[in-house]
Amino acid sequence: VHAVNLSVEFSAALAQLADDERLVDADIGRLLVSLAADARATIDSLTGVMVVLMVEGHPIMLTAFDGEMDEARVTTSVVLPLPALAKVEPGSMLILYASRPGAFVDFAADAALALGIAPDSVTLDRHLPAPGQLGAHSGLHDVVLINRAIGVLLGRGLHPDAARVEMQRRAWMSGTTLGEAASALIASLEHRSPLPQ
Amino acid sequence: VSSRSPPETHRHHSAEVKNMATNHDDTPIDESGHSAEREHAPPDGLDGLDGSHLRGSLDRLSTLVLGAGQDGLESMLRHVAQFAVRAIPGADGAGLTLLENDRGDTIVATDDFVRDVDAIQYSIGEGPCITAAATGRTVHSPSLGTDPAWPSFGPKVSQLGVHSALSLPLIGSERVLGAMNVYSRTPNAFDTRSVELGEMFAIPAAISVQNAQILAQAARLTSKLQAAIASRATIDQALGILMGRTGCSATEAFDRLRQLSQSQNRKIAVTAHSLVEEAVRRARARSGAGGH
Repeated sequence: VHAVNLSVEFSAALAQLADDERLVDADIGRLLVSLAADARATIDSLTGVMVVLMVEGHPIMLTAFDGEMDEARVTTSVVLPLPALAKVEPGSMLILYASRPGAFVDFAADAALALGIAPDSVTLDRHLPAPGQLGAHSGLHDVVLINRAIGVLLGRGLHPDAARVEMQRRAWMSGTTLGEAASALIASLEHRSPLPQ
Repeated sequence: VSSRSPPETHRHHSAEVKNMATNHDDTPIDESGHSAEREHAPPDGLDGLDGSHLRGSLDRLSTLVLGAGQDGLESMLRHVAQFAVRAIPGADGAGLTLLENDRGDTIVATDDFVRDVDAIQYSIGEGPCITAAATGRTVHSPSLGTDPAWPSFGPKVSQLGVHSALSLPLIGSERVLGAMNVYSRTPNAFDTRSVELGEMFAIPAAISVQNAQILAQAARLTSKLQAAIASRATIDQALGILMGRTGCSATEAFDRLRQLSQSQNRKIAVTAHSLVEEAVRRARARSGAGGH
């Protein structure tokens, strides 16, 4: 399969995950490209693949597209719920995009049968990309910030569960997202003297 | 389901098959004990064959291979091989080989002798499966021991008591995915009907293999990604602990974590996990002390 590319955002996210080579199995990028290639072998008008992984309620999006990302070429999509394939949070999904209308009708039927899930759990054309969406923020940055903020709260003596509740409280109190609340907490460290060692 | 509503590849392939059938439908099966290659040319209809038997087999194939569900690619392929043995007259055993990086690997086999036969052909680099995968054509040999096409392979497997072979390429839209190998201990075991049945089996089998590969790849990717993100989460929490303690930046915290891991001769993820565990222990001790 030619020219299946990782999106710039995904490449950046991979680099972020792997900012030390020992941190992460670098196979992830290869696996995504390989998945796109296999899907392309079955559905010849396939234009791209997106994996949406929910992490504590936050979506992390990874995309691989055939050549230049061009939402206008996408006329159909199919969504597979990833919890049917692996132990992941609800809401995680695999989305395939194609340029030929109807390209996924049979794949959707096969996949539903293969995974033993209701046919209407594999949805067609409900996740067509909005302009600019495919190059959008991967979501990993927010998850990184939230985990660092949780670490700050752990260091202050909170249990992990209590730290998460505290983050939600801060977001609710400030009317912001969890990512923004985490960012504010981390920024506040810069104005504080270090704790005694 | 592939057999009742063919996806893109199937339709594309069927069109090719139709053209090939026009040109090559009269390709003879060599009855002289020598191998014969032929383009995929299954009949358009089921007339002339045992139609109800074939339809039933194909329907059951589709149901079973797709019903393999989360057991994955291997389970699905095992069902394909088992059904091939039941449906193809003369078959004693079958196996499915998938190509990865142009190298064949028998993923499933219905019997040990099938694995033995395939192991021989991959070790010496010749045999009906290798020919079928290389040419994308059905390969049929009624007498392996005397077949000049494979002068090393043939006599070796003949000594094992395997005399007939039928290798059916599993063809995707852009490449040969592998082959379904059907063997018999009887010479001249496969006639024209066996070949046609095998070829009809190979088409939905190839589509199911492709769909299962997509699902298997997605499952592998998801698991690896989740593991990477979980590992990264622990590291970020450790960075947060260090940032909270010292007021340093994330970059400086990462350098400290790296130095710490090097001094402990441990992976960064392990050192990070220890830091987080220690913080959680302290929190528990504190809340335990507060509770008394």
